[in-house]
Amino acid sequence: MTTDAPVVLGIETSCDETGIGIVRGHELLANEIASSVDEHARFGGVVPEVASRAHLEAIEPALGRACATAGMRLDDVDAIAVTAGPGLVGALLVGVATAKALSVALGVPVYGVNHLASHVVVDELQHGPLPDPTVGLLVSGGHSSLLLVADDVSTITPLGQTLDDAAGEAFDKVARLLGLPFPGGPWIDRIAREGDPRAIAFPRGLSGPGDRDRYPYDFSFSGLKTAVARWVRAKEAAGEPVPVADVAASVQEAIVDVLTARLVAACVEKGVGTAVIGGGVAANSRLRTMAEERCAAAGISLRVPRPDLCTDNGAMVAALGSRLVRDGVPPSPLDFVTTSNLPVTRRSW
Amino acid sequence: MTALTTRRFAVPTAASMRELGSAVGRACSGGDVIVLTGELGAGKTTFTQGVAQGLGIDEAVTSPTFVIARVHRHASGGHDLVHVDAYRLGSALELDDLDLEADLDTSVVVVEWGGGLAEHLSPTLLDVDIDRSDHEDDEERTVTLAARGTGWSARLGDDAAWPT
Amino acid sequence: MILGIDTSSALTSVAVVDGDLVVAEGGHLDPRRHAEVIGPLLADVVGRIDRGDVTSVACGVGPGPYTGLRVGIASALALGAAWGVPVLGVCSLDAVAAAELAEHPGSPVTVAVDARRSEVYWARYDGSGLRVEGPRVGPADGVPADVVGRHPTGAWVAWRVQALLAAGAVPPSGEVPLDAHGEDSGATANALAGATLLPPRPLYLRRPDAVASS
Repeated sequence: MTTDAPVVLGIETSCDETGIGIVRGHELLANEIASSVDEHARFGGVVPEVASRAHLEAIEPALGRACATAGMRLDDVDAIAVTAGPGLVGALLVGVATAKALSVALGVPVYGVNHLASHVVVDELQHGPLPDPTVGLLVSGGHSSLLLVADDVSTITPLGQTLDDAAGEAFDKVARLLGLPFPGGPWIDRIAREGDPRAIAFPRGLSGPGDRDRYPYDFSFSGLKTAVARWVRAKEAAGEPVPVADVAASVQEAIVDVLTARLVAACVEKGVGTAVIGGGVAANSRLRTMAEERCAAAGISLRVPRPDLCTDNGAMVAALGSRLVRDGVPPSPLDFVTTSNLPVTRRSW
Repeated sequence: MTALTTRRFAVPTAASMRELGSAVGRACSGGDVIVLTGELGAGKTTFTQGVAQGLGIDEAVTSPTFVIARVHRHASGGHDLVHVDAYRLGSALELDDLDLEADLDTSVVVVEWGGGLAEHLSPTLLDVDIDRSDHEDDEERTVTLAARGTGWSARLGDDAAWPT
Repeated sequence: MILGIDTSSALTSVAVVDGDLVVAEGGHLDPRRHAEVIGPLLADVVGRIDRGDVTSVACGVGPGPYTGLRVGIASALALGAAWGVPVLGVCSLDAVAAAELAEHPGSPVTVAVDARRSEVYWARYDGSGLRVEGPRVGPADGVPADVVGRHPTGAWVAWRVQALLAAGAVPPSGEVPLDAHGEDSGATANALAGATLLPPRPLYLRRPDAVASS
């Protein structure tokens, strides 16, 4: 194996995207994704059994496409990396079983890696090595976390997380209240452009007296959902039309305001000069704009990977795997476990 | 002690919702199933956070929506909490099918959106209905606890266990 | 040599057979740990053979509890992709029936395995081992099963594939009706009856539990 630029195949099946990525060092060679999101849309959310079935259907064809795109054979791979958690257990197992069997069949090491850490490290594929330290903001349907990534990406300290709903979930649930389709995030983003973000002053979670000290880097979006529900019902009760665009814009503003404020505060208070945003919600246009403005004002360099590297994908898993190989981290034992609650402090098993 | 089948509470704030949940948590025993009913934003997660507190579970209770079910372990041997969001489950909930890493006989299971899906899970079931229809303009909720089976009926009858 | 995998029951089973011989075999009984144990089991079995001798990978495609079942099929697909050999499926209940028939030649048999919710997956075989009904899923008390709860093994799955290939069965094109994979158990179960190689896709026999939102 070339340890300075290993060829690593990454497998991601933690939610509804089947992702196979191949990297050499931190050069991206292939990033194949098969999504089952359309199948979930009619259920109003990701259904674990539907996702697991789709992964098994999609994974072998995706392997073949990734090898073709990278112009190599499975034999050329130096190591396998796979998401071991957190995520939907049944879905994760499809990727983990595939990875373990590939490892045995090809005689190469396997790394069971942390999904959240992958979302930060993936940016190395686009923008080069991460400076030390970096603050990562992960925002998706299942996660909202602030992470301090230090010691050459070997130490990951969770600074804060959501106390109730994830940011993407807040978008989805508000969309449900407004009668918009799943997944709600892109719809709210689109409709919000027609609305006034200052029309309704929805609450910012954990901004009350004392919250800043007790929960400096945590999030709470459950109260926002309640406030939107109450506001919409009051309108309806009064027989007035619900100004969907204004509600969408105001909700989006409330969510993005909190996310970016906490991100900047974490950077400033921890003395960190670089921030990375990852996860599906990083595709939100208002989040990108506000994060850029606020980071620029605070002298923080902001890195946001392009959209196909922000959403769940195999390349991010391969990127972290490549990092582990280059750092000389021992591979995972072949009986490593898959878990829905993998602690973020561990990069791999 | 009178056996009650229902008990109703006026719950003015999120803090009192948590307090009521905590009282329920303290009254729980292993194998209990609690079915939570209430609209989006009614306070089901807040109530469940209270249940966790009452059970003595330290870790944060976050929304199980994304993963359908989440297991919160008790750090020192008390009952684990299994928190389920059944919103997207279509037919009668089978906890076996969720492949939970928990011993259900010693856990307390809270099922959101479980009405009509979870009733068969336990002979000692508690229905919790969170209603805010009379309270458009404030945070107040009416919470009704209803016992199914004698276990919860007796526990509801113990006046000392409940907030006034 | 054929490498066989079955994870459709609580047993995770891997074996390599060559003619009547079991060249290497390993198993682990635990209903929730298929994905953990499959790695060491495969490493052990593959470590005892020359992998260049493996001509195909056989896998039991259920029916059985889905989460574990997918572990075996995903592993088989990965081995096939890595080694460039075909991956062939057989109904896991056929492997149980074949094992029974080896012990009691000529006896018709009905095989059932637990499907949770007070139901079983089951299939009926004639005295020659031919599946004449099923696989189906249905209430446990409605099935006069002779064999309940015997675990399919990788060796029997591999032997089934070996026998079918020897009898001239052709690998499936993958064009088995989708119904067989979860939409409806009744309509297609009988279409699958008999001695057939199946594509390496689970026989779910039930739809996912979810409702479409209005």
